[in-house]
This record gives sequence, C-alpha cells and structure tokens, in this order.
Amino acid sequence: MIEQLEYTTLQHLWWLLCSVVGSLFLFLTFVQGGQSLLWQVAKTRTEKDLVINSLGRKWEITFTTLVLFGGALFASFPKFYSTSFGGAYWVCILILFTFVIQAVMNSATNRGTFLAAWCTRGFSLSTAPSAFS
Amino acid sequence: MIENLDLGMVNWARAQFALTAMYHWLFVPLTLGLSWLLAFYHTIYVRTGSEEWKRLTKFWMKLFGINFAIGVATGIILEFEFGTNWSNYSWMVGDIFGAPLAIEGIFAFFLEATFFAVMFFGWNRVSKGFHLFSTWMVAAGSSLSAVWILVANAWMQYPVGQAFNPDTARFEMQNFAEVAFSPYAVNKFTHATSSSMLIGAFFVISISSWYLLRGRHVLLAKRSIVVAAALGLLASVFTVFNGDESAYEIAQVQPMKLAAFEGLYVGQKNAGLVALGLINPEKKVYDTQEPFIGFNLHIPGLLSLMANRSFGSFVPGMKDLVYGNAEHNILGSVQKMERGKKAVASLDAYKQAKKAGDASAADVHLAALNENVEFLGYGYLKKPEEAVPPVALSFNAFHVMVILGSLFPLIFFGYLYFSWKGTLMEKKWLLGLGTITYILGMIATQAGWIVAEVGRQPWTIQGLLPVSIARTNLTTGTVQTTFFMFLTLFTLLLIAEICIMVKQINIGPEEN
Repeated sequence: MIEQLEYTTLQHLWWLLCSVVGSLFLFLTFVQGGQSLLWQVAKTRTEKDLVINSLGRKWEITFTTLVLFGGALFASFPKFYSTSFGGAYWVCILILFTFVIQAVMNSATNRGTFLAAWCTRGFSLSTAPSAFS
Repeated sequence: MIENLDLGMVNWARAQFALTAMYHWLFVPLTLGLSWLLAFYHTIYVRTGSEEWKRLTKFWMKLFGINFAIGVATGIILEFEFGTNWSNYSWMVGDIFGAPLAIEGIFAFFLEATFFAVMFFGWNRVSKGFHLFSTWMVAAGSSLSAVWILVANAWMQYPVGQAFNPDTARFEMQNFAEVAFSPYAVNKFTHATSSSMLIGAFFVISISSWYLLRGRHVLLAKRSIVVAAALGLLASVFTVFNGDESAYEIAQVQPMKLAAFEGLYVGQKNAGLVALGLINPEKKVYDTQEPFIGFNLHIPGLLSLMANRSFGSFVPGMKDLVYGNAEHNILGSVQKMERGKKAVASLDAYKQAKKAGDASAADVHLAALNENVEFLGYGYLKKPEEAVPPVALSFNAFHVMVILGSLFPLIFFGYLYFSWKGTLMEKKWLLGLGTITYILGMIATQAGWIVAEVGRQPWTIQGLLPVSIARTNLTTGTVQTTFFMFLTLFTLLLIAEICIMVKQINIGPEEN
C-alpha cells in the first residue's frame, strides 16, 4: 500500500505527523511551564508538592515527544533538521540544557524540585521564540 | 566553503560529541544490563511468591530508576548534536541515518517509557502478571533502542544499502533490509548488549560484595550474586566470542582500523597479536621509528587468524594501506585519493554541465563519476597520511578492552563456584576484587567506545565522508562554549547520581 503513494503525498503525511508531534511537544512544554506558578499558587509544602507532582513530573512524556520530533524530522526532512538546529544553535542548546537539568532535578530529590521549577521557567522562555519563528 | 575550513571547530565538535557519548555510555550499559537482571529477579519473585525476593527486586529497581533518568537525559543531547554541530552530515545522510533514529523514537522509547512507569509504580496497583510483563518489556524496550542506534552507527562504519545521488550530493537509501541486517550491525548489537549485561551483573556484584564484606543484608546479597554471576558468565563468554567476530568483520571492511589497534605498520604474513608492548606515540606512518618502545611480545599468527581465519594469511599494515601494496593487490590511500579527486572533479563538471543544460556532457561526466564514486571521500583528504586514525589511543584502548574482557569470565566463574561451594563469605580477596569490578567493567566498555569511534577517524562515514566536511559552519568559540557548558552539566549530573546512589546503597533495601 505504502509503495503506491506518491513521494509528495508521503511528504505531506510526514509533515502532518511532525506537526502533530511538534505541537504536542509545545503543549506539554506549557503544561510543565505551569510549575513556574509554584510561588504564586502554593503556600504550604503539601500544596507545593501538588504543583510539582501534577505538572512537573510529566517530563518523561515531554522528553519522549521531543525525541520523536527530532528523529522524525531527521528522517523525513533532513534539510529542515540540519538547517534549523544548526542555524538556531543557541535556542536549541538552551532548550536541551534547561531540559536536562529539569529532568534530572525532578527525578533526583524533593529539594531539587524547587530548582526544577526555576529551570522550567527558563525552559518555557527558551521554547517560546522557537515556537513563533 | 569546504576550502576555508576551521579545523579548530571540527576538533571541538568531535570533543563535544565524544564527551556527550562517553557520559551517556556511563549510564546506558547499566540500564541495558540491569533491566534484564530485574526481569529475572522479578520472575523469581512471582514464581516463588517470597517476600524476600520482592524486597530484593524492589531494591535493585530503585537503583535502576536513579540511573535511568540521567541516561535518557544525556541521550537527547546526542540526538540533537547531529543537527547542531554536524548539519552537513545530517543533510547528506538524513534518509539513511535518520530512519533508524526515528524508528527508535517511535517504537523503542515509547515502549520503554510506558512500561517503565508501570514497572516502577505498579506494585500492588496492577495485576502481578501484568507487572512482571512490564518489567520484561522495559528490558526488551531498552535493548530494542540499542538495536536501532547501533544499526545507525554500523552504517557509518560500513555504509551498505545506499547510493550517492549527484544531483543533490546526498547519500540515499536503496535497501532498508541491507542497512538493518548488515553483518556489522548484528555484531555491534550483540557485542554492545552482551557487554552491557556483564556491566549490569558487575553492578550487582560490586554492591553485594560490599554488603557481604560489611556483613549486611547477607541473604539478599548472596541471592543477588548467584543470579548476576550466572548471567554475567554467559554474557562475558559471549562477549569474548562476538568480540572476535567483530574483529574479523573490521578486518574485512576497515583494515586500517585493525592495523591501528595492533600498531601494525608494515603488513605481514603470519602476523602476531601484541600480548605485551608499549606503543610509540611519536611514530608516524612515513618515518622509520620503531613502532614499540622497548620490550614487546607478539603471539605469532594470532592476528592473521583473527583477521582472516587462517594462520598464514597476510594482514595489511598501515604503510600498505597508505602507500599501496601491489604484491598483495592492496590499494593505498595514495591511489584512492587520485581516484577520489577524479570523482570530485567529475562531480563538479557534472553539476556545471547540468546548469548549462548540456545533457550529453552531463552524461559523460556522470559515467566518469560513477567509475570512482566509491572513493569520493578520499578526494577531500589533503594528505594520504590523514587516513590513519590516532594509533596510540586506538592501540591502548583496544588492549585495555581485550585484557579486561578476557579476565571477566574468570571473575564470574569464581563467584559462581564459591557460591556453589558455600564458601563465598570466606573469600575476602574475591569480595574485595568484586567491589571494584563495576569500575573495571566501565573502563572496558568506555575503551570499547574509543576503539569503535576513534578507530573510525578521519571518517564520519567510512571512506565516503571525512569529519572535516560533515560539520556545521559555526565558529570555534561557539562550540567551545557549549563544550564547557555540557562538561559542567554532565559532571554535576554524574556527581549527583553517585551521591544519590551511595546514599541509597547505604540505606539498603527497606525492611519488612
């Protein structure tokens, strides 16, 4: 069945897939970004844990979506992949950097989660320009 | 563009990739190996229903969880580094290299991430059968992601199933099955997973031995050791055998790499394997210095046996591979460069003819290109000697790996034997050695990475694309900055992981 599809149709399908995954990634990023409300909405330790556990501990899903987004772009639109990540170098590095800190802080210790919230704030900020560019 | 290369940037980008890959490889073998051990422990618990085995499984699972997160976090940097630092490479091979990467993301990661959550949080929440199934799926998923990433890596070492498209100047996939089932990929996968299993076994043995020396959690430690040593013995023997198979494969497709491993400058019949010797790091392929400093011991014929499965056979040395050897019908990089330059010239002429709309001239140039296309990469080398990888580093890494690798089955056997005799507690020397086996295993596996990837230099794709033209057009300063950013980040991660691990090991398994 797949062999009979036109090259351009396949590209359209892949573009659709990449956009779905990409927008899912963006959506999840903002879900995690909710952690930055930590100091606004949560007063007690329990409330803070609630914020972290409901929003912050979704990083595995965000992470897997990002990996899939990257892999799918690499395979289906190599030119887009190579020019956008090589071109928007610092944006990309910032996303990765804040992402890794956040991932590890979240899974490491409870104390770390407050730092993780800060990192998430940086992470959301660094994602925003790439979403609109 | 290619003429104004900034070599500094290439080397910093290489350093950055090595940094990321080696840090990643500190965590990944443990994930790969320990996940299978968890599956065994969990199965024993479900079959016996014993609370002791449940406690044991939960303890190792907790340590697994700490390691898992950092492993994936470093992995994501690797995936994007292809785009940020090696964009020319990503563009030229995206069809081939990107495909296994995408498959890894779609199947393996989702499998792993989904079942990891069930495995970790599933105690008393899901049925026993499904919980056990999840533990097995985590092991299968992590090995599956290893399959795809190693298929991608094997293709860089031995590019099969592809064709060069002169219109786009890209390598395009012709046959997916050839890429996925390339013998090189099969060897890589079996060697990497079996060696990771022995790392997982060493992890368990190191911690358990420490407990035994302290007289803590004795029953748990002994039980953990028996299962780990049994798996480790199988895995380590298997690793030795498929390591030999890999060497044979390398001799066929990357003879230069094999010659560098063994410091073999001049090819010989009945070539010997170096058992003892200090390589001369100053020696160049064109000078007359001795390859070894002082005393060295070769086991005659063994290298010939390893490379060609026959004692008397000829193994080409680095000199033969650089300057050619007519007697044994070996093309050197001198000859390959000549043909490579022709290929580059034909490619340029073809492009110009295409632009001018001269179809017949384009056909002529295309035919000329196709004659020499397999040496295209050599056309971008500046000197034939560039085709030699860093010899001393490859040699040392290879021998560290081989020596440690041959020692490992003995250690596992010792543990099994004394466990069986019931005298393990009295063998303090073995337990003492046991506590550092994890570090020894790590040294061996990191050396293995160096062997595979430093030995591939100067190529990104063996014979087709040198690293110097695979890069992104960035300044040295940029890559330098991110190198130190990642160095700091990864070192902090490593320290954090070790602290959390040590704390958890000190606490030990939870009491009933």
